[in-house]
Amino acid sequence: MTEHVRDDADLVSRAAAGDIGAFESLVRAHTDAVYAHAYRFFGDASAAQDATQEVWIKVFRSLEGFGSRAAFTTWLFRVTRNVCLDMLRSGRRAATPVDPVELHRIANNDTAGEAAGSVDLEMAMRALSPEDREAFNAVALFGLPYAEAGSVLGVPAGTVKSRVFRARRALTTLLCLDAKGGA
Amino acid sequence: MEMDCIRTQATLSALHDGEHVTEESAEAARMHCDDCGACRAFEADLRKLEALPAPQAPPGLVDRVMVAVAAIVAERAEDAIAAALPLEQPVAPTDAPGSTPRFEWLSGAGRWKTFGALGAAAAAVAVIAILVTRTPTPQTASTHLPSGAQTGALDLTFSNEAATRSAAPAAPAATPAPARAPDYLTFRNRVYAPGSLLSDAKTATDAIGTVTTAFGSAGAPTQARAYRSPLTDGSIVVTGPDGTRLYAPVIRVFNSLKYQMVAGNTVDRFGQWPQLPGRFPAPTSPDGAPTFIVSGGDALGIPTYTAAGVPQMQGFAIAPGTPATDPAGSNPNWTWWEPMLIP
Repeated sequence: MTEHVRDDADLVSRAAAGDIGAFESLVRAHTDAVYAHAYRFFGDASAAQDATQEVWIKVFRSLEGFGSRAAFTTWLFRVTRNVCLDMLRSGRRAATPVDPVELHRIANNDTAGEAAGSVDLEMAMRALSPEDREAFNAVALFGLPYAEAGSVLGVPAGTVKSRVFRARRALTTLLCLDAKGGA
Repeated sequence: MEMDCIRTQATLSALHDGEHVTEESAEAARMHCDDCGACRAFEADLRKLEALPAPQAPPGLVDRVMVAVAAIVAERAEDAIAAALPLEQPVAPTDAPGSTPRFEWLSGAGRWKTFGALGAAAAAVAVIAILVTRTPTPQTASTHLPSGAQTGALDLTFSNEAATRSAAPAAPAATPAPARAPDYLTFRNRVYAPGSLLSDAKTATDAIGTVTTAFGSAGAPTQARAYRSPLTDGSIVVTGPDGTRLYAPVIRVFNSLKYQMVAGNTVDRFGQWPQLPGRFPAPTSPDGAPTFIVSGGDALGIPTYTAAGVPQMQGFAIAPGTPATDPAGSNPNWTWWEPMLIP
């Protein structure tokens, strides 16, 4: 991760100096994380794409003010979270509600294969509380340490630890991972 | 689940994330797992959970982002140019009485005043406008070619044919300009060339404005409605005498961004060549002087030229006489290129 942070810092510095290629490298390296967070937030691919574009535009416009005070991924997660919340609050996008029937199907369906598991994961993800889900995303998608995630979420690192653990417990239970290939 | 299991699994979760855990807690978790199948299973579940792929951005999303970024660069370029070139306020002639007001800032004492304004403008524009003036790097080789367009529809496929040529900047070989330009039209000063004929006009989306063109006729130009393209490639949809057709932006790729030809004249019938925007006086010398300065060359071996006060990322000129296969075609005029916008 340290290597990634150093790479990111270098790319951010070059992008702020006008190197569009460096900015594109940042976009390519982190767009999946931004998109995945937005997708899990809205439960909708179209909204996730719009949010992802908006996130990168905000990042591009703010590069000069970033100043490497924090890890780039911490800043990126903060922007991503705020963009999603703003889109929701402004009414431009709504989160797709969870269908309890689908959750029941996941828990009882012995799906196999990575693709099926991934679909079920996203369904199960939407059963999490928003707080647990965003803590899990900060750590699992953006690779943030608990303390960094806590600084963005406004909670202590210990709370992040609890939320991530709770999210994992819920996901492994919902997905019946031990029953599907059991270790 | 017992309290020990909860504590152990929380520790395992933290260890999985690479978080610092006291040696005492880690040892307690290990000892607990030796005797607890549920916690061993949870540890295995963590790995399975991590192995499940997260949603991936669809193909093309990064390109869409970069097009939006290019639009920001273009906006800033327009602001910088507007701030730096006060064309409506000619500087009083001093040592070059024969020059026009537009040229005045390039000759004599007045230029220093204008260079000062240019510097202030550059300083006022954040990030790109200040800092993108850098040594040109080898450019992406893909081109969008409105080639062979004397008549009929153009071949708008991408071609890297010319990418195998020397990348060394070199003056383009002078080629005689064809009598007639491709079937260009302009929309908001940007140049488009005909693409596919659409079988169903409903594929177009909302109207976004009008283009003024006589198409291929000798009659007077009229206004035709332009629609947003169903594609996100910068194209527009225009209904003409032969039906509803996509018009693709005439572009070249520079530093991973698409740049579109910008015309100073209204290309109001097929066969007319785009000219430089009016804010740039036509160079009087083949090396671009006094308006442009050669700034490098792209991967096609075509030199690019910058204008004073305009960072190259925000726009550049191409000299006349490029090969017919170049995106500029064999235009006998200098051409100007700015980051492509999605209309």
